[in-house]
Amino acid sequence: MSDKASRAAALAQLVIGLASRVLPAGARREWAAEWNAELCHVCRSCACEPVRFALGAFQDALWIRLDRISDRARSTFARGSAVRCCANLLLVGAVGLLLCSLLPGPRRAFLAALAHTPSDLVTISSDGYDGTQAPSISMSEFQEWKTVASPLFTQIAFCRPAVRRIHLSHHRPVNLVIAVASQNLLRVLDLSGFASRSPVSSAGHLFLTQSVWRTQFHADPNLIGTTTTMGGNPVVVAGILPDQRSDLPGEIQVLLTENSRQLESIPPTADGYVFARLRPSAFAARTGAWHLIFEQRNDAISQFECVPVSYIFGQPIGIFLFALLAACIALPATTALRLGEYAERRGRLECAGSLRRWLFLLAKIVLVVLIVSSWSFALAYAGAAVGSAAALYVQLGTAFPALLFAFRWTFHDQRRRCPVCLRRLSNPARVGQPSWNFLAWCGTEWMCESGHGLLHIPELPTCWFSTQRWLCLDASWASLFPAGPAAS
Amino acid sequence: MPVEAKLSHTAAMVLEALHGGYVYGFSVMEVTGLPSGTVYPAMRRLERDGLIASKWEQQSVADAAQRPPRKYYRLTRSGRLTLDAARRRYPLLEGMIPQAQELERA
Repeated sequence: MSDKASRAAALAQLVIGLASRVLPAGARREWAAEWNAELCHVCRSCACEPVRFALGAFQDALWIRLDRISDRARSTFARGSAVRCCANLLLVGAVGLLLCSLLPGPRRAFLAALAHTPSDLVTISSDGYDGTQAPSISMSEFQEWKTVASPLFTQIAFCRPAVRRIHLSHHRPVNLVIAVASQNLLRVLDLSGFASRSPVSSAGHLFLTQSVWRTQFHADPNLIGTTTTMGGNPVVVAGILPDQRSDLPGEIQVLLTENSRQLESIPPTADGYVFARLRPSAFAARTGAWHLIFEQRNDAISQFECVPVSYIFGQPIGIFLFALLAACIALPATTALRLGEYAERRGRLECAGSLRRWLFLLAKIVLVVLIVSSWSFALAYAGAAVGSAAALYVQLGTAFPALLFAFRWTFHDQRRRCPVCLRRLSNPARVGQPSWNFLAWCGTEWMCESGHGLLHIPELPTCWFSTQRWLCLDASWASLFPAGPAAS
Repeated sequence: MPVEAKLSHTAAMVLEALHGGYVYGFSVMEVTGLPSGTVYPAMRRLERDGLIASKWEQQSVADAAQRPPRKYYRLTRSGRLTLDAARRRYPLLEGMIPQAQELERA
């Protein structure tokens, strides 16, 4: 062989060696042996350039690699496989979470639950209204007892929402829910840090919520400080409030804080929301909702309900946890919790296989809880505000049966899976007859398509066959199962 | 693979070449005129689908000829049936590949 031919052969060998790197390590040796043997004949025949021949090795190696990947993907995502099951559950959960983040009601409920709310902040409503469902305290009632209640509260604030037309700067006029509030409302709500202008006694101060600022005023930074008139009085845009805190009562989009003189223009019969901060001495003794009874000047008794805002915001999660607990308690009454006997496989299942089964069960439970929580949130708060009784009933009414059904399905699905490959069992066959039950076994036999074993479920549980049993098949059965290897 | 499976023209040529007695990759390349980057992946696919089977040459035979052992390919039963179907689909296929024995005699 000439020097030139030797150099070409060496280069071709190098190319084949490089191409073999594309393959998985286990397949390289045999593959390279075939290509090198062929190269030897190419060099001898002189009918083909060795390097050009060797360049084809890249296409061959790439084809093998891609074929193996698609094979693995096919078997991983095969019908009834554990990965496919988890992927489907994850998809449903992701759609639920997406709904919760896109729909304004559920998003507010989520953000409110996550937000830090001062623990001494309470909302006061007339007896029977419970929290922030609707404005329930009239301006005259508020004025009458705000001084009487001062031993219990450090600060009390009033706000009255109403739809009003607003025209700011060069933006087009829009109708928004504007809450006319007492000047100390921001301090009571712990939002005074969001006011970017110092209070001016002569003008009211307007605070836009972040979502309104973005959607209605295109996040215009020059809006802060602009002045407009509302009801003939001058108002100045004083700040932007974060969404998760500013929507405390109902659907308020803008806060207009006014001094006490301007506040007197509100009709005495107009109902509004009242927020207050408890004195530390009173706070120590108060947890949850409680009643407040006042004796009025005419000796009449007025009852009010005080509910901590953190309690209202925590209700959605609290209700879901309650539904979860109730579903866990009710579950044993609706389905058996035993997963069957798997002890026949060469003494016991390998630890890794057993761990995989338990991890799969755990993953399914976590995913169904995620699905039910997100969908129940979306259903309950799509059309109702946080703290509304209707939303809580809807949430409880959907979460409890859904969790019960989901847990029941999770256990049923786990029992119908092969403990080795975790794929759904197939080809059910009835074996025996009920009349033979005292002499022989009677029930349904399920089969693993990969040939790992058979599952026997008794039709009538007996003392010698009380629950389903898994029977492992050894390698001698492999020829009957083309779908995969026999018991590994 | 079912008998009615439709092969590409390249795969049909490779099958015809193997049927004609060209039993290793380089000889298939020579007789079909196809490049190595086409012939070998085609043979892998045919082997995966059970139309052809491969076998390594015995080491002693290769040692006697002072070369590395080669991998030989042959048609399986389903491969022969598929080739018959491919011949009906590509009528000129049979004439394109001369039989290896005929070539040796010539």
